[in-house]
Amino acid sequence: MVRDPIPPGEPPGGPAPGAEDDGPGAPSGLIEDKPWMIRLERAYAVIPAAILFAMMMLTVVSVFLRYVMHAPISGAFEVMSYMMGLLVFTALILVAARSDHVRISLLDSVLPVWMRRSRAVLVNLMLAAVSGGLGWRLWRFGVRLDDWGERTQIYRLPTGLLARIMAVSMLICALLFVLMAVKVIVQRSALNRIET
Amino acid sequence: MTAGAIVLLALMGLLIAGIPIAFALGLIGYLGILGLRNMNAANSVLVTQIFDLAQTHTFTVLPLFILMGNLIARARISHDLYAASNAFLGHYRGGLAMATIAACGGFSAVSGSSMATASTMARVAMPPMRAHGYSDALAAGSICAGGTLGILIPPSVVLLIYGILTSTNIGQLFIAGIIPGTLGVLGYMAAIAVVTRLNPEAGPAGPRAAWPERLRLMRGVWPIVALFGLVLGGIYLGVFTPTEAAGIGAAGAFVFVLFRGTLTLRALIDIFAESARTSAMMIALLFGATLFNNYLDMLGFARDLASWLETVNLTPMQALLVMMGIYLVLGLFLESLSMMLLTIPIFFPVVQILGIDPVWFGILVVVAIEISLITPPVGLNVFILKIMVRNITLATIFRGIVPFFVADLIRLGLLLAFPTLVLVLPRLM
Repeated sequence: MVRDPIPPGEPPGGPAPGAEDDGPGAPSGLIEDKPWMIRLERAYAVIPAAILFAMMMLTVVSVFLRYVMHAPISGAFEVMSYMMGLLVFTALILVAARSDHVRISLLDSVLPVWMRRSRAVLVNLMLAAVSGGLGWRLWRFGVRLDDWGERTQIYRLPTGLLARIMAVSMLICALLFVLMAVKVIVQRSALNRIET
Repeated sequence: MTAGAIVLLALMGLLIAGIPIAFALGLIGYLGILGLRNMNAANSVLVTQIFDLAQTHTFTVLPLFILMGNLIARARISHDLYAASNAFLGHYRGGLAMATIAACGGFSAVSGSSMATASTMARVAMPPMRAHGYSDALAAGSICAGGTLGILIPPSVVLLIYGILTSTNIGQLFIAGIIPGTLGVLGYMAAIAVVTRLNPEAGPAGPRAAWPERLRLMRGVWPIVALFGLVLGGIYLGVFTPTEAAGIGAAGAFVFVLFRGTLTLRALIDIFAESARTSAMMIALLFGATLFNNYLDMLGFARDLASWLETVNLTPMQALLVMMGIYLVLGLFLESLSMMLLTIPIFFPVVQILGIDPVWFGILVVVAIEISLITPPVGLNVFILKIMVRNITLATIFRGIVPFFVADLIRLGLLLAFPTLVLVLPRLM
């Protein structure tokens, strides 16, 4: 038998870092390497995780019913769309907590540290203002949808409720951005967790 | 036109200042509409657009495909993929490099990111190639180049986003990527063959693996291959919509990792949450891009740009060449998804006015974007590899990339010259 030139198992020094391990638990943004923070993030993350799991199952079940049982679910797309709205906005809180929004890091290595810190404070305050403003408008929109008694066509899901969940999520994001700005002011190492 | 130019400059300013792309796009869009109309109009566009977009049914394909990729990638398949590819290709001259191309293509297909591929496969593929006396240049070049193949293989997030942004049929886009993707693989293999023919020292042949060994190594990866076959085949034959294919792909990958038994319940929850997080980040970019689009529409930017194109008398082909050139430059500081989001709102209306086929254009764009990530003298993949691999110089990596880069330029040229290569399969659907 020919010997496999690739050493079996993990390379020395434990598993290779990179895409395969870059998972939750690694400190980033507001999430520091402290057990209670990691536990809190994990506990919250169950919500978007469960929504995504439900979306996956609903798709499989609806394909199965259509092809195998010849009984398509009417309005699966409506429930999927509703869940999509919930998924995006519940998960945006995780994105904000980890300072995970995509940005261009062109100046990160060029500017002196004091400028990068002031910039991080200003940018995060601006993100807080934008998220807060959006949250406020979405809340008012939700209240109006409720006043009109808006519901989805088939399953009568309340759209106003969805808008208000989105609003609350945006307001939480705004709060997280403010916390991040404060963190950058009081803690020198916080900058490294934002600029990745 | 002047207004448009000012807007683009302002956008550049915000981006360079380090404001997240989603927010920079959204803010300019919102303030722009506020300036052109009034507060009420801007608020109502903002809220209704975001509320409707978040519930767009087409978007559901995104988290499901990302989930499928994350599930497979976390099942630690990179070593298995590489071992299996090597068993089939290792005995050729340059065979390990060819195996690297195959494994990188497979890994980037599931991870959806050529940069994640470069960082993971550098650890997996670089040491054995060095151990077998491969030149550093060829080894590094094949890792950088191999990772770019995944963009054409579903679940390609970049292709999905293109489809969503331009309302182009996503199933057709996926199918259209098959021939260009295959051409990419063949081009890279040819590049390795040429390099090792000119310099046999660069990639000596390894021992031949026996068939029982090959089959044993295939056991770990065939379910993945089958899953991709199911997803693509289902879309091609019209058995599933892309969303359904994504859901089935994710569920298949879920079953695969359950059977492999490498993941705990906590790790599974992490993967679902991480997929949700990545999707939310991308949808946030789409929110921004849509608001920005709305504003450019109100400005009549596309019309102005098109009439300007008329005054300078560019043919559609020349316009395409200019756009492809812009992508090669943008690869300097943007990753693929951001490049797509920032350019499509500007380019796509022009493409429509010039009567260029949107499926063809989409494939050209993703090919150009990935080439830009390995283009000398810059290219993000190259820097990632430099960080991951010790004692290798940038000059060596770039020297190694040149043959692959040439192969890619030839491929892009072929796709530009013969649109049929892209369009023949989707037209058969």
